Amino acid sequence: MLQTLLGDFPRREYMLNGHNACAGCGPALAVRYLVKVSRQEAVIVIPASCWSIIAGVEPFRSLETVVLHCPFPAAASVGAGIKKGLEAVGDTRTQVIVLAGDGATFDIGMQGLSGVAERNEDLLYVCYDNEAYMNTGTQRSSASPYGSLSTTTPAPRAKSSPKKEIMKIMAAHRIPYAATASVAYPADLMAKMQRAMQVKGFRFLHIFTPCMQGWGSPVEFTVRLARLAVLTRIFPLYEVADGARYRISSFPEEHIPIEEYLQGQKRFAGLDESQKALLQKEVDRNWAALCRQADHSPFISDD
Amino acid sequence: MQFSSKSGWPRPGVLQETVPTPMNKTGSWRFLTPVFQESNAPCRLACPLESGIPHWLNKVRQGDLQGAWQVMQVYNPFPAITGQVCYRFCEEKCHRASWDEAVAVREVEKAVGLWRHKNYRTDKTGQNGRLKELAGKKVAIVGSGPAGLSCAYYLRQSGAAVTIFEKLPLAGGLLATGIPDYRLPRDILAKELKILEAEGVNFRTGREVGQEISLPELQAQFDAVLLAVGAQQSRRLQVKGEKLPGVSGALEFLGDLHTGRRKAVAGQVVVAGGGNAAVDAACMAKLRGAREVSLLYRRSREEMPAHPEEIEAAAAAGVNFVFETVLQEICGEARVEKVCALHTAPSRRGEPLQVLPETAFELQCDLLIVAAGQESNLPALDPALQNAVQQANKKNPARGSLNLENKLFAAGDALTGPASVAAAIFGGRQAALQLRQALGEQPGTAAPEPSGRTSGFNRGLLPPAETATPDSAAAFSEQFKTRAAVYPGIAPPLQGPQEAIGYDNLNAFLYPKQGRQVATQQEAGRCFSCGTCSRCGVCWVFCPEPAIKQEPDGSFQILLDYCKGCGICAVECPAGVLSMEEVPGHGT
Ligand SMILES: Cc1cc2nc3c(=O)[nH]c(=O)nc-3n(C[C@H](O)[C@H](O)[C@H](O)COP(=O)(O)OP(=O)(O)OC[C@H]3O[C@@H](n4cnc5c(N)ncnc54)[C@H](O)[C@@H]3O)c2cc1C
Ligand SMILES: Cc1ncc(C[n+]2csc(CCOP(=O)(O)OP(=O)(O)O)c2C)c(N)n1
Ligand code: SF4
Ligand code: SF4
Ligand SMILES: [Mg+2]
Repeated sequence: MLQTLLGDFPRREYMLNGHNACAGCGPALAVRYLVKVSRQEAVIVIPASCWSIIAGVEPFRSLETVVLHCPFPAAASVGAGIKKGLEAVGDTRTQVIVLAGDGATFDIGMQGLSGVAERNEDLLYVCYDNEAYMNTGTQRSSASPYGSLSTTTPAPRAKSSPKKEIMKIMAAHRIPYAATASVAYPADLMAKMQRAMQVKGFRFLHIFTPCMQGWGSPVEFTVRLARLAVLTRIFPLYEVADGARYRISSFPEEHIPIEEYLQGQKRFAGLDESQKALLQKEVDRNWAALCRQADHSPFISDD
Repeated sequence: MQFSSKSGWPRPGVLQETVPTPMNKTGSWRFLTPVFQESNAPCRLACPLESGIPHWLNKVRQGDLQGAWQVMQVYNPFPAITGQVCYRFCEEKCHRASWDEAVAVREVEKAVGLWRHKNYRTDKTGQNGRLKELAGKKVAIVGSGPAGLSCAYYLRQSGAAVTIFEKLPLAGGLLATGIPDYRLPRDILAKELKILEAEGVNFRTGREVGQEISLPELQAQFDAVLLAVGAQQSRRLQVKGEKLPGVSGALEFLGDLHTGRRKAVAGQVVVAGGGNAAVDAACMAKLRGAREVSLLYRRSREEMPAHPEEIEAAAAAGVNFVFETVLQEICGEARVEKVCALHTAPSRRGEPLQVLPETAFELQCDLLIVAAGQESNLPALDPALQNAVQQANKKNPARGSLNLENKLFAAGDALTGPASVAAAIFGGRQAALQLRQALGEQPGTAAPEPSGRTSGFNRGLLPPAETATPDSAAAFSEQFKTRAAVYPGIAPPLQGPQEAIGYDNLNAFLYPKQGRQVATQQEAGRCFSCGTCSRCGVCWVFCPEPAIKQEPDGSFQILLDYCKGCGICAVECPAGVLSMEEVPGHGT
C-alpha cells in the first residue's frame, strides 16, 4: 500500500519551495497535490485569502502556472469570464481553476458561485476549507464548526450554529461533479482532481485543509488531524454526480469518537460534555444520512 | 516555459516576468529540524539471529527475492530451514500485532529460502568464496548441526578451506536426527547440504573426534578448530529400572527413527519429560504407530518448557498428557512392562517439587522414552573443556560463540545448552566472525560510522530496487562496510541502545487493517518497517513545502534551505525514523 502511494505518485512538483505559507500549512499541501494533476495546463484564479500570499505577492510566484488574483467575492465570476475568453480565442483545452478559501466560498462569494454553478459554466472550483478567515487572523466563517472559537466568536461564546452544508448547496445546483477530499488522503484527492478535470461543466471540490495556527494545535499534526476528521466522520470523503448520485470514498472501519478529533485543538477548548455529545449526535446523523443517500442513489461512474 | 506552445495563450514571457520563490530561503524560519535516526525493530531484537527482518521483508515487498536473499544471508544462510522449524520469536514481538495481526515473518522467510534453493547455481570455477581474505587457511569444524553448518557457510564466503567432522554417518545434527521430519522435511536439509558441498565445504561423516582422530591432532592439522558438538548428552532420571531394555532416551529414540534404525513403534508408549524432545518424541511415537502414548510431566501444561506450537501438534496427533506426575519406578522382568508414577502438588518452574505419596498409580508400558534434559557434549569430548569454557567466559563473555584458547572455539548448543536452531546458526555466524579475526585477516578498512545524527536519509540500509541485480552482492556488501567496521557479508550491529522502537513512534494509520495474506509479497508489505527506513516516501508525500527530495539512488534528503520545521514528516513516517530536534545553528 505504501509502495503504491509513492509508485503512482506524480513526482514532478509544480509548486515551488520558498513559498510564504506557515510551517505545516494544510492549504499549501492541498495545492501541492492539485497542481501535480493540473500541471501547467491550467489558469488558477485566486481571490483574497491565504493563498493570495502563498502564490506569491508581486513579483513572486510559487506556482509554475498562470495565476490570476481577483477580488474576494468575485472568484467564480472571474473564472467563468476567463474560460469564456479562452474559448473566444479558440483555446478549449486550458482548464480554469478557482482556488478559494472557505470565506470566499461559503460566505462572500456565494452568490457568484451559485450563479456560475446554475449556469453550469465550464469551471473547476476548488474550495480549500480551513474553517475560518485565516489570512486576516481567524474570524469565524459559515464553514466554522459548531463550538469553535475564533476572534469573532471568542470564549465563552463559541460558534453556536453548525457548519454550513456546502456540499448540499452545490448538489442542489445539480452540477455534474462535486467531491470532498482531504490532505490526509492525497491519492484520493488527486484521483478526484483527475476526475474533475475530465468532466465538462461546473465542478466543485471541497478540500479539508487544517490550519494549525487558527485551530490552536501543534503544527506537526496537520495531516493527523485531517485524517482524524475523516476517521471520526466529521468530514467524510465522498463524491456526488449530477447533484443526486452519491458515492462514499472511504468507510472508516471503527467508530472513533469525535472526542479524539476535538482534543488537542484549542478552538474547541470551550466545549463541555453536553456540547460534545450534541456534536457527536450531529456527526452520526450526517453520516447516517450520507450512507442512506449513497445506498439509494448508486454512483454510476464515467470510468 | 513551454506553456504557450499549444494554445498560443498566454504569450511567452508571462511567467518569466515574475520571480520564482525558491530564492526565498524559508529554512531560516526553522527552529526544530527533522533528524533521521534508525532504531531497532522489536522483531530483530527478539530474533536469536538478530535478523534484519524489516530489510529483507522490504525487498520481498518490492518483489525482489534475489535482493531479499542477499540481505537474508548476511544474517541467516538457511532461511528454508528456519522458515520450517523456527519458533518465530520475531512474530511474538511484532508491532503489527497491536494493529491487526503479526506479520507472518517465518512464512516469508521460508519463501526466500525456497527461492534460494530453486535458484542456486554452482560457480563452475570452484571459486565460490566471494572474498579471498582467508584463502589458504584451513578450519576444522566438529559437529554438523546448524551451528557448524552456519560457520562453514560464512567461512567459505571468505575463502577458507572448511572441513566438517561428524561422528554420525549423516550430516545435519539435530536437523537430521532430532527435529521430527513432519516439521522439517528432510529434502530441505538435503538441498541445504548439497549447496554447502557445492560451495566447497568438505564433509567427513562417520568421523568422531576423540575416537578416529583426537582433538590435539586436529589442532595440529588445521589453522583453527570450532567445536559445535551440540548438547545431546541425555540426563538420567535416577529411578529404579532405568537400565531395563525397552527404556530409551528421547534423542536416541528420535535418532533411531530418523536414521531408519527403528522402523516403527507399537504398543503402549510412556514418555517422561516436558521439553521439546519429550513432546516431539511422544508425537513421533504416536505418528509412527504406537497404540497409545502418555506423556508424564511433573508440572502443569503452562509450565512445560516445550514450545506451545509443539505441544499443540502433539495434542492434535493424539498424545495423552498426564500433568503433575513423576516416575517413581520402572518395573519389568527382562524388559520394561509397566511404570509406577506419583502425582505432585501444583508448582511453578524453579520451585521445589512436592510429591504426594498417597497418589501412586501404574501404567502399562512397552516402551519408555526418557527425556530428562540434555547437556553439552563438550565434557564428553574432553573433561577439561568445561573448565576452559568457564575461564574464557569470565574473560570475555560469549555472544554466540566463545574463543576457548588460541584458535579453539565453541558455539551452538555445546556452549549454550539446548537452545534453538536460530540460536545455533547465530553462534556459527559469530564463530566465523571470531575465526576471521583470529586467523589474522584485516578488519574492514572503512572507519566506524559516527554515532552522530544527520538530516539525510542517504544512510538507509537498503540499496534502491533499481540497482538490485544478480551481481549486486558485492555492491551490497560495500554498503555495510560504510555503516560499521564489519566484514562484507557480516551482519551490521544493532542500532544504538538495545531497546526496541515503541509502537507509539509508528503511524499505523497508514496501513489498512488486514490480517495475514496468502501471497508472500503482500504479506511482506504488511511490515511496518519499524525503526527502519524503507524508502516508502511518506515524508516526501506529506511535506507542504516541498522540502524533501528523492535522490536518484532512492534515498530521501531534507532540503534544509527550505524546511520550515513543521514536523509533519516526523509524525507521519510510518517507520518512526524521523524526530524533530534542536540542532545547533538551525534557526534560533
Ligand atoms: C527433539 C528436538 C526438537 C527440536 N526442535 C526444534 C525446532 O523445532 N526449532 C528449533 O529452533 N529448535 C529445535 N530444537 C533445538 C535445535 O535442534 C538445537 O538447538 C540445534 O540443533 C543445536 O545445533 P548445534 O549445531 O549446536 O548442535 P546439534 O544440532 O546437536 O549438532 C551437533 C552435532 O555434533 C556431532 N558431534 C557431537 N560430538 C561429536 C564428536 N566428538 N565428533 C564429531 N561430531 C560430533 C553430533 O553428532 C551432531 O551431529 C530441537 C531439539 C530437539 C532435541
Ligand atoms: C471585500 C474584502 N473584504 C475583506 C477582505 C480582507 N480579507 C482578505 S483575505 C480574508 C480572509 C479570507 O478567508 P478565506 O476565504 O477563508 O481564506 P483563508 O484566508 O482562510 O485562506 C479577508 C477577510 C478583502 N480582501 N476583501
Ligand atoms: S529465524 Fe526465527 S525469529 Fe528469526 S526471523 Fe526467522 S522465524 Fe523469526
Ligand atoms: S511490523 Fe515488521 S519491522 Fe515491525 S515488528 Fe513486525 S515484522 Fe518487525
Ligand atoms: Mg479560510
